Amino acid sequence: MPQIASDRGAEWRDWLDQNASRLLAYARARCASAEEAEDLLQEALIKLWNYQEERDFRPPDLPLAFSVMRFLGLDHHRRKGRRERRDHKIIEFQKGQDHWLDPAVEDEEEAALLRDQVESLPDKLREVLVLKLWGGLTFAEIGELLSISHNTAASRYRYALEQLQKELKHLKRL
Amino acid sequence: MEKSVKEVEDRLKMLVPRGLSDRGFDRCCQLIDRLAVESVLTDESPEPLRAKEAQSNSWQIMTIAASVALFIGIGGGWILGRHHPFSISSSDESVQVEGAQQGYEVLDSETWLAATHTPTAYISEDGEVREVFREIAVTKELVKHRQSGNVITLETTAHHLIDSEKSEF
Repeated sequence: MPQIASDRGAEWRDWLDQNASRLLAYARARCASAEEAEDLLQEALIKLWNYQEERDFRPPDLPLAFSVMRFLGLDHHRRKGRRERRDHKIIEFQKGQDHWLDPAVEDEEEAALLRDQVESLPDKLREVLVLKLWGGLTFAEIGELLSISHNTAASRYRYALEQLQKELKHLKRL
Repeated sequence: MEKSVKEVEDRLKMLVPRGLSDRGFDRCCQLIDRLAVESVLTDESPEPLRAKEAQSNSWQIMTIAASVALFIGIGGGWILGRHHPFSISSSDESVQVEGAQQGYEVLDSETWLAATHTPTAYISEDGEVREVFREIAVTKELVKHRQSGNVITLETTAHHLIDSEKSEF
């Protein structure tokens, strides 16, 4: 491989190494399975590579990467169809193993509960939560990405946290 | 932010998104390598003239070297085999004569386009709108040396600069 291609490849592999898990978390929240999410990430890599031609094929900024993932995710949803997606989701969640978040501390029951609640949040709320917490974007960047104001992004984030808090309280009482 | 909500946020931070599977990561790396190579092959970004010349020269040298290697291979086969009439029986005399002269037989041949570059439009001196783009054609031939019976695969790469009148479509 010529040196220039090798250098570009190395830069992108480093970039992927740093950002794969956050991009995948975002993709995972939009896909029925981990395999689909990985396929989506690959599609995004191709798009991003072409976008970066104007910038000498440098690895992209994170907001652009999320933006491409979002676009591809929406397209993916359209292609798959609502019913098929819903059925898939039920099957996957019934398996109880195909989670996209792992507790950093082992055997923490509450963390597992929290994870389940995050996964069952409404899409709009979960999207903002994922982008903020694990995507590392600011509210301004999230607002731009989702075409909403940064105040709306912040409100959705707070509302998601409140929803989770309520659910946790409720589950603890049971 | 309310304390209990802040606590939820802190607990959420303890959750770590799962990364790519090993297989997924390998697939992405392979994809990146492929994209990197393709981008270099079709690279037309502004570069210092010297670098560009060196790049185009290297392609020319590679093409010439491939042609020379092919010529030596074919010519060598013919020289080695010219005093020994080949023994493959064939009812087609013309094939026999051609084979005897060349000393090899092309068993299979295919050509495909490895890459093309998006056309760049320009206006020629006489005002015509034209477009120029580059095509990379790869030819793969399965060749059998008649005397030794050795079968080899020859792969040659040709770079074509296509300059044509811009299509209305």
